[in-house]
Amino acid sequence: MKSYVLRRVLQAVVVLFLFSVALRALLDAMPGDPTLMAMFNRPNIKAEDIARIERLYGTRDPFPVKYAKWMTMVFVKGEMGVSRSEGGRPVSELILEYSWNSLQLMSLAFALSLAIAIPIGILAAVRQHSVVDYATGFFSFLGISIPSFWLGLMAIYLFAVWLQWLPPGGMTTIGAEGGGVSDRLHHLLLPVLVLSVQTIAVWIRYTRASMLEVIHEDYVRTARAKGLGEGQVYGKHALRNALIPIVTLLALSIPELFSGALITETLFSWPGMGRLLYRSVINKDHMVAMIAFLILAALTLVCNLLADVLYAVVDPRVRLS
Amino acid sequence: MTTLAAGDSIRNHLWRRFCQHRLAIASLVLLGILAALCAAAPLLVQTATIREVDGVDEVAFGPGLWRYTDTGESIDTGGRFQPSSAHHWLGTDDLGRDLLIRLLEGGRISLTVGLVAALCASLVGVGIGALAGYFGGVLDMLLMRFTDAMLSVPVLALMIVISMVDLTKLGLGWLVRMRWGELDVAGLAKLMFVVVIFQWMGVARLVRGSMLTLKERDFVMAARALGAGHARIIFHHLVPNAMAPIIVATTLAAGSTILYESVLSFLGLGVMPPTSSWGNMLSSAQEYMRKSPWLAVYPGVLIWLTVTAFNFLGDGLRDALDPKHLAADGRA
Repeated sequence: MKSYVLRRVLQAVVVLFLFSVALRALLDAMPGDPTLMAMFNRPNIKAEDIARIERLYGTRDPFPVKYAKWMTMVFVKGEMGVSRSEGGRPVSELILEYSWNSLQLMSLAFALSLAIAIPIGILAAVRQHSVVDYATGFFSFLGISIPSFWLGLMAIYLFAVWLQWLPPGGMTTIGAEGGGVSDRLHHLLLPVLVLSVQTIAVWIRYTRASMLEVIHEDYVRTARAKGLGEGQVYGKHALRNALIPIVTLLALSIPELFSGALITETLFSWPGMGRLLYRSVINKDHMVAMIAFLILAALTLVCNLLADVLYAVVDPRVRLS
Repeated sequence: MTTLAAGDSIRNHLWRRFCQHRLAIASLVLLGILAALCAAAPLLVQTATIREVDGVDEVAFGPGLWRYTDTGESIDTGGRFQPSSAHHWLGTDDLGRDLLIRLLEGGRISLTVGLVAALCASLVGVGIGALAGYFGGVLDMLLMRFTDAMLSVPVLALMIVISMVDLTKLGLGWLVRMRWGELDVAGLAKLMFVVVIFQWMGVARLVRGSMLTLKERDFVMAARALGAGHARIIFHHLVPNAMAPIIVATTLAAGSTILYESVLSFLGLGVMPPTSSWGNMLSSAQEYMRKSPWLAVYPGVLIWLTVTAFNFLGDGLRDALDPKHLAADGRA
């Protein structure tokens, strides 16, 4: 077990290194010149300031030098650099703030989705081949297939523009900063609902599938043969085994909580990691993009490992090698 | 569940099993109609010929169901945002273009890009999966670690990065200027390339798994004894035996490639106007939501329907081709 985890961690480090090299190269290959962009709105900029910017961002260096400088900055000096487009704020500060915002949005959407999807999924499995089962199957297919950016667009039009019940985006009402929890929830409602549609559909299918897997097992028949009521059979014997794969899938979903949702956050102007990532790429804010991408990739790799380990812990039949 | 009767071909048997999935049949019909309409769109539009008679332009229309405008132009700035009428069945857009014609023209691009990208992704997946599963060893280890790594990166964000890469900076400027008539071939190829990079992993894993079990079978040894080379064994004996899950995965992938195409085009990084796709139609409709919300409704509904249909189709194919999956589901 220990050597397994160690090997996986080493693999993850190699993957992250290669990913960072590829990412740096891709970001360099995007159009535009960061130095020129820094000079754009500053007609009075002096030659020494340009030189300073070039030194700070290392824009004139050849690729290996540029990459080595970035590595030294992050891993030797322990700095993450400063953003260019987000008001020159330090990247570490941005990441902390934005991932916290994403966490609020995503955890709410995730909790809501699970609360709805798991009971429905169980019901669909227990009443297999019933109208309930077919109807949930049909609607979960519709939910999985819906283009989330279009759903967001329609939701904004319907609830914010036409009915004017909810704000179209942002985190707080302008002029009422720090308007408290109710104002925040008011802004959260629409993006949370939009995010939930897809998540609910996906989790209904997960739950149904893993419940069906156990329902036909011998120990469930045994439980019924012992004379236990249906509630006991499903609730205690079937459900607890059906939850094993669910726990793993939950671990795999953790990165999403921090990475946010690129499209939904951008549509609703929710200042989360997804939107930060999108803006950093569009604005060619390389320092922000590098760190944001790498943190998300690292988080995913860690959670993949966590899911595999958890699977072995929850289900003693599984051996890691 | 139908059983295999005597004298029944396996093809008929699979077809009858597929037919039991009513939603899959409905989806197949829907996709067929949609594809036919999109493909036939240029034939259904009346072509205009303009002649000068006594110093005045006279327009004559050929046969067809719809026409752009009375002057034969596709753009009519005088007739912007018209509601649906006998002339323009779904109304007109922000440049006075007939929305129905644009939807069908956009569908040509969206469906083609989606299908071609899904097929290419499957081909890449088959190649990588077959190499890894057949040869095993270090190659298998490296390819599968690469596959795992590709599965753990933030897909959409990276697609955006790669779409934005400046090909002239990489010395590929000649590629950017490639065109086919009005069509921006280079842009479409780039878009498909971007989608394919992140879509092959599922098939690669499936094929590798099939290879691992299939390559130990006797018919492979027989082929080898007869002198067949690696390539012949892989492509003549192994891949055809792993076809069922590949077909299912490709169908399901078509749904997600269409979604990715629409998202990227919506963000202005995919299909570029004036070539229309359902995604970039939504992008421009976004600006006119207040004035004409229908412009945003139709393309979105079409994307939704198409993706749903591909998902149902994939589900039906899986039911028909993969009896093990049915047994696991308790439906057999």
